[in-house]
Amino acid sequence: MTPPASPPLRIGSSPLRVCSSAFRRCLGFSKAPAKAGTTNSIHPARHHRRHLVRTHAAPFALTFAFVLTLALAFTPTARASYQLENVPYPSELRGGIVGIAFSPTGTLVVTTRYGEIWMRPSAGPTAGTWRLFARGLNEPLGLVVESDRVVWIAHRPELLKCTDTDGDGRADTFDALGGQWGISHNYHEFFFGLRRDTAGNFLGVIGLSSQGDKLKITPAEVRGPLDATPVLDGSGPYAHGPWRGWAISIAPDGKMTPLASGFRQANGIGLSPAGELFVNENQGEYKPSCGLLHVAPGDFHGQVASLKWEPGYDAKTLTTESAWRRYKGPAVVFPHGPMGVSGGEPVWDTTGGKFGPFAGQVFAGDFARLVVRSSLEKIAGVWQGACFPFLGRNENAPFATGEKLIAGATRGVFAPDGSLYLGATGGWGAGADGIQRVVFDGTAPAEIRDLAITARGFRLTFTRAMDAATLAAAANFEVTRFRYYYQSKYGSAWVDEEKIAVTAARPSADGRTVELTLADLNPGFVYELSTPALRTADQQPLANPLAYYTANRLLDGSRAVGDTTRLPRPGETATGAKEADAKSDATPAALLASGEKVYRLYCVPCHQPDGRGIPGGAANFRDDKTRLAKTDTELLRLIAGGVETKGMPAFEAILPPLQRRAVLAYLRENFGEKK
Amino acid sequence: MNSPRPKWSRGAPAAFSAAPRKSARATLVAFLPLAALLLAAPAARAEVLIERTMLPDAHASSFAFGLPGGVNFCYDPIRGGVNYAWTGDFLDLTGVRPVNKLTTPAKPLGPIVHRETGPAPLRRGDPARAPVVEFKGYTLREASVELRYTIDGVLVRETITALPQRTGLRREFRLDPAGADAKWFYAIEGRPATPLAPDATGALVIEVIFPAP
Repeated sequence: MTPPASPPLRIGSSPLRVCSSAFRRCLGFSKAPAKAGTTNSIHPARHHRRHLVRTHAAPFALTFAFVLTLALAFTPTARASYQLENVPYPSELRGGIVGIAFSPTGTLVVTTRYGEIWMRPSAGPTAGTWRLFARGLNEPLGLVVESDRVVWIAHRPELLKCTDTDGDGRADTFDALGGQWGISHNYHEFFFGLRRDTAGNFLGVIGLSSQGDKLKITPAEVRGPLDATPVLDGSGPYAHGPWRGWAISIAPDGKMTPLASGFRQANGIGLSPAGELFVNENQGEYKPSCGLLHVAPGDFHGQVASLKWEPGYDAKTLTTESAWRRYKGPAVVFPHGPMGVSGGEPVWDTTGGKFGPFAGQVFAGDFARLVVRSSLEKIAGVWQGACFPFLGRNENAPFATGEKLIAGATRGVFAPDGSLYLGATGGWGAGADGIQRVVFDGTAPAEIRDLAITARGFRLTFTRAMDAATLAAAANFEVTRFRYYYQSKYGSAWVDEEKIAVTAARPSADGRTVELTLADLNPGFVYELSTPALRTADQQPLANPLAYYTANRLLDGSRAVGDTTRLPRPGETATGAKEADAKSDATPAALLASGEKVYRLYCVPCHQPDGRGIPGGAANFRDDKTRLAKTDTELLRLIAGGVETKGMPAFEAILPPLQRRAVLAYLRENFGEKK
Repeated sequence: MNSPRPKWSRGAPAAFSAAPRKSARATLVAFLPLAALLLAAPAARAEVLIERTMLPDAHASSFAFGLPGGVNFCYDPIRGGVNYAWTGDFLDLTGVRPVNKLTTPAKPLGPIVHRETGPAPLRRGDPARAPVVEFKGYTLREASVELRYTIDGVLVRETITALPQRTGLRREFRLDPAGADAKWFYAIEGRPATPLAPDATGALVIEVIFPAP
């Protein structure tokens, strides 16, 4: 038998398939001799390193990368419809984002509570690099970006055009327009904006002064006349200076035109694609809840302080009832609690599907770690519609993944690529600073896309085909309706709350819609729809099985005075909501059940479902046991009085005593020391 | 500026300074070592600093400007004038941000060296009549600020620069042609009004001289 011929010498060859043993030997991992008949690499010692790289390491790396790619591709990762990312920025920017927009060239532009404008170009030699564009502004809460060299700002004293005249990247010339409204040192005198209509007019809302500011206002410090006479009982925020509490229009020549009154703190201005003005108003005195207001010239939106500056105002004839009778409520109520506590800028999804199946709908961030989605329809000539939780309640795959939504995100804008950018600020009692980006990955989430009113109930449209069996069961649709008090006290409890039976559910053949028939359908109510039992055709639960519809009008045009509010009846306490959920003789179980509901509706937005709160803001009951170590008396006093510095409202005006006790019982049971 | 100024703009009118200019210069020379220390203390500023917030002794949303060289001033756009000036560092903003509420105004970080009160000092026609002021805007330049406003409807462009060695402010007013038909005055509360006349370039110029340290 002849011995096998020696393998040929090969220098620099790299057949990894046959060279693996040689590779191990080269590295010293194997002392085994080369098997007869295998291909060997023989190389001089000085070429050893090069040989390792060329012959073994490089192919190995390529193969490793290939295998890793395959592994990642087939690993069951937490894919989701929406990915949330943090957008980095330099420490010099500091945060406090209160304005966010894109220029026509795609440059990201933000304004901050530090009075600055920053830009991040998307193209050119400085693409991706932040630069300071302007500073020295006074609370610039909104902006319109005309170009990379011209930015319009809504800040406390006026509308300001900031221009980079010499092209060095920094604004140098600032032109003031408007500014005919009163201002003082009161910390809450914001100018909320900013939108520009097709005629070139700028639109915004002048906020009221806060009664919480203990500074004394003197004529020597104010712009415009100072009129401190109270309106009605004079409680709550005030309008000592002209046009506070009014929506205004400022023409390109600087002329200001008051449009509508009755605003408190409309911390979000939006224009629909059709050019109609909507603002997101905040709950407070004469404001039962946050909500999306449709603003038309001559409207009165409820807050009486602004009426002082209305032509023809007569303090002697103004009553709460006369104000209520002309009150125009939100087109879409964002019920305080489940749908946030302090709403922000509404933006329309004009991405044509790049952001998912919600084209044409409205998105608005809320201060309490929530993004609300809203759909609008015009009924009998009046805008109204539905709202849904979007981000913040469900942050799990397959709906969402990535970073958690930060609190304080009250500014939003759709980027040219169809993603949604959110700007957040701390400093208003809670919240955090940051910029986040929400990206749709192309997979439709399981959601109620739309909720529209019909002659006898509602029609739900889904983003995906639903399971026919769950969709046809009327019992899977829980409907509760309620309205609010119109009152001078802060907010309102839900009043006239009752469950409404769903008598029929008629799904469409494709499982995409269902028509609900209600036992009773009246205007002047907010309808809560809860559908946790619904499943998609592939048995997935809905990402957010909750919706609220504001029925200002029915299809036949019928309406209620005061829209979704009424006045307290004689003998009814100002906080006299039904206390059926927490009767004094309620069993402990009933008390806890009531407390769970109160917590879900009013406390979750800030304290979160797991009780861990918001860093720097709402208390963390889970990890900070001192929070619930106080006595019942102390905690009930805290719940009743609120914590103004942390943005916690005084629930004395919102919840009756027994419901406050119920929620305390729920807190102790779920987050107390025993747990 | 090389063009000769009329007499009224030379030196420091009593209305604008507690000490004549020559005296101020003499004092500055006498305390040159101290002045040198003062000049060296703050970091050199490459640009005009600006903040618009709650400032003491000023209307809401007034300006604080810091000019290169360490001369700072509060411009009150509602009153229509420079309320005060200080030298040294710029502002302590810890009272106004980052906070939820404005409880204490920002603090000038240096001695107040000049102060004006009363209605807007630039007067058209009648020095005793408080003018109607409307703020129009501003421009930040390398070492100066241009403020734009109307006085009784006449557009005024006021450029403010620092005099050398922190000795004062130079204020140059350029009027819209509509304002050329009347006499102009500078009037501060409690002081006699000073008539103004244009220099060779058509500007009305005032130098506000700070008292010697």
